[in-house]
Amino acid sequence: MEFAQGLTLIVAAFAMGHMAGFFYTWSQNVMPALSSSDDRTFVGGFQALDRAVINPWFIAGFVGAPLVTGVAALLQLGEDDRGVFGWTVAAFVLYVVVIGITRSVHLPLNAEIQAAGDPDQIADLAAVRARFEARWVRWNVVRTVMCVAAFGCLLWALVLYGRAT
Amino acid sequence: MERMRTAALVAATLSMGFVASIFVHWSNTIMPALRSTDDRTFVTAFQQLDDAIVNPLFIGLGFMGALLFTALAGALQLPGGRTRALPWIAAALVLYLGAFVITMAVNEPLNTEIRDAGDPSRIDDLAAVRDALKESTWVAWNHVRSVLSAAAFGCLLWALVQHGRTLRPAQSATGQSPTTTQGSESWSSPKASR
Repeated sequence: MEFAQGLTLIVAAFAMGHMAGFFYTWSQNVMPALSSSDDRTFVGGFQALDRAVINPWFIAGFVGAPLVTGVAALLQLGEDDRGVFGWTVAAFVLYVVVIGITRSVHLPLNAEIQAAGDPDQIADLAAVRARFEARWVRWNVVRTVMCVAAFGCLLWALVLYGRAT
Repeated sequence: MERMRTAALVAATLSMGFVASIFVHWSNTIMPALRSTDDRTFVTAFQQLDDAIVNPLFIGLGFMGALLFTALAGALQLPGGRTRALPWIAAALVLYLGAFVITMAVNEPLNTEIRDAGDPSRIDDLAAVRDALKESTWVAWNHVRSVLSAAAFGCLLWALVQHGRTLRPAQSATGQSPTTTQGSESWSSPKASR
């Protein structure tokens, strides 16, 4: 049991760090780069990145992080003297918000920019970009902060877990 | 002191997680996306991405931070012969040093090639500039540094648990060193280190 508790917490923290870094990469690296590009590079570049992001590693992290965090929390049930449960649940809740933001803001915007089609065939590239950029970037900062917080909660949960075992 | 030890180790783990993840996403998302684009988009986008990643937040807290915080976390474990977390922190440091050296020896010189090519709209032979990055070499070594830093990240996560174990005596130790008896492993299986 203790083995499973430790293992799930470690895997959850690993996956959450992976996702926090992923959103951070988009916030601090990808979007600043695209924002200083011309409209054609912006639209074409984002479309290519959006297609590339749907890969097994990403899906494993995006879906795996909350699943493993949830399991890690469940395995701590009844050990509430440790404080591990609370921090793990906090991480889980924060990540649920991240999923909510992704579903209601980012996925629809991604679908819209893909639907605009080949950048060379788009009459008004600036309009496609304008409908997309500001809102996408703003909410990406929010989900990055949420996910980093979730990651931090899990790191603290690991320390508390070590102290209790 | 105990708080500083914990803070340094948490900071090291946070920054290592970020750096590992950034390398992984360059391997899994960014480079595969660029591969499918035309030469002009490739060169433009790579230059912009390279320019954007060289910001104080990433270089300071991420790329350099992972190295410095990990070294600091290790150094803070030395007094009093705390040997539970130390081997894992040392392993993380060595693994990350590998990623660091690869960056300076392989990726960064290639980045410089494409950076120095200048404004893409004034480049006559975009394909040649693209070739100068040696895409497959760049990507192969990026995979290696991704794996090394992810392994370092894993070591630090485990070090956090081990460090937590040295905090066991219920409250903040006032001077007396906590029980660091080696050998009395109540842990069920060594395989849990992964």
